[in-house]
Amino acid sequence: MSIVNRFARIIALVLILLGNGAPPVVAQGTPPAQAPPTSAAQDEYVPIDQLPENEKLPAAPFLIAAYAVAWGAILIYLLMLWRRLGRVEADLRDARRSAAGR
Amino acid sequence: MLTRSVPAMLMAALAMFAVAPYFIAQAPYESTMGLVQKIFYFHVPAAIMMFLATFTCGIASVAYLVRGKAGSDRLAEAAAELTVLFGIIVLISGPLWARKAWGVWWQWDARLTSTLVLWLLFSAYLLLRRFGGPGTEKLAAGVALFGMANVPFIYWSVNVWRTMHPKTTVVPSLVPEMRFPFYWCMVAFLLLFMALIKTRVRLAEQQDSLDLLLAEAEG
Repeated sequence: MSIVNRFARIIALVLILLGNGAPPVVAQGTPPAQAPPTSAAQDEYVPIDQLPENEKLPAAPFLIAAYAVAWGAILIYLLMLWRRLGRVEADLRDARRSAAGR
Repeated sequence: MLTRSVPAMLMAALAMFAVAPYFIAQAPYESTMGLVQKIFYFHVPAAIMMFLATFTCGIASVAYLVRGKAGSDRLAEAAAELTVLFGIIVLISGPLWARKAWGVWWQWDARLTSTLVLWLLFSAYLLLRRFGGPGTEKLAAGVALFGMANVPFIYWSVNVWRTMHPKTTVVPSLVPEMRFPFYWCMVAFLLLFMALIKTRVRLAEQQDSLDLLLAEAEG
């Protein structure tokens, strides 16, 4: 047996062993070859308005939530800013009064 | 007391925000996304304000590092807070749109990830200012420079890398019926931005005056 043949046999053996050693990965990584084709797969594209009701995701809650978050964040920041400014200005007035009294 | 321009800008902005839903509702539906596309009218102006705040903070930080004026530092701190505020709106409204449009809340693609990094950088800036103690102004200014350098990458990321996020050509290609509510919201956000930054700078000025008075009283 030539050295090339011997090398080819070793490679083939290693490949067979690797193949037998990793069946779960292969099974997870590839879809079943003989899976029965669904109607969606045959048609390739299902317009969103033709989907069954339980598969549709309503848009309105996402839209309302996005606008509520924007409004909420702005109003909370505005209130926090107003309160901080009011507090600092009150403290400053007190400090100026006590400095003038000394 | 604040100057008269701040309450005027604030009232104008809030009035425009109150009317905005009417104009947004009148705008036509985008053909593939439908109703959820209307998040765009707040999401994009908020993102633009986030970039504007970032540049304001970055440029004010450079001015502070070069000239050392306290006014520049106050402006930088105010702008950093607004970057975080508008960033929160962008980073929450975006996933709400994505969940419907893409079917997932989040994708670790270039645009989303770099925006999150920007928000984290400016949150770090604020934490540094809050808890860093005296003398951290210059260190924070350096952080702001890194944040500003991030903006061009965020903007061009959708054109350079493969990403699910819509490209920068969306706004210029808007139909006129969509353009009006978009620019209406842009002006409202801009007025709000100016009112907030002036108020926040005023707060920092008053705080500095108070600190000075207290220091004089003690020593």
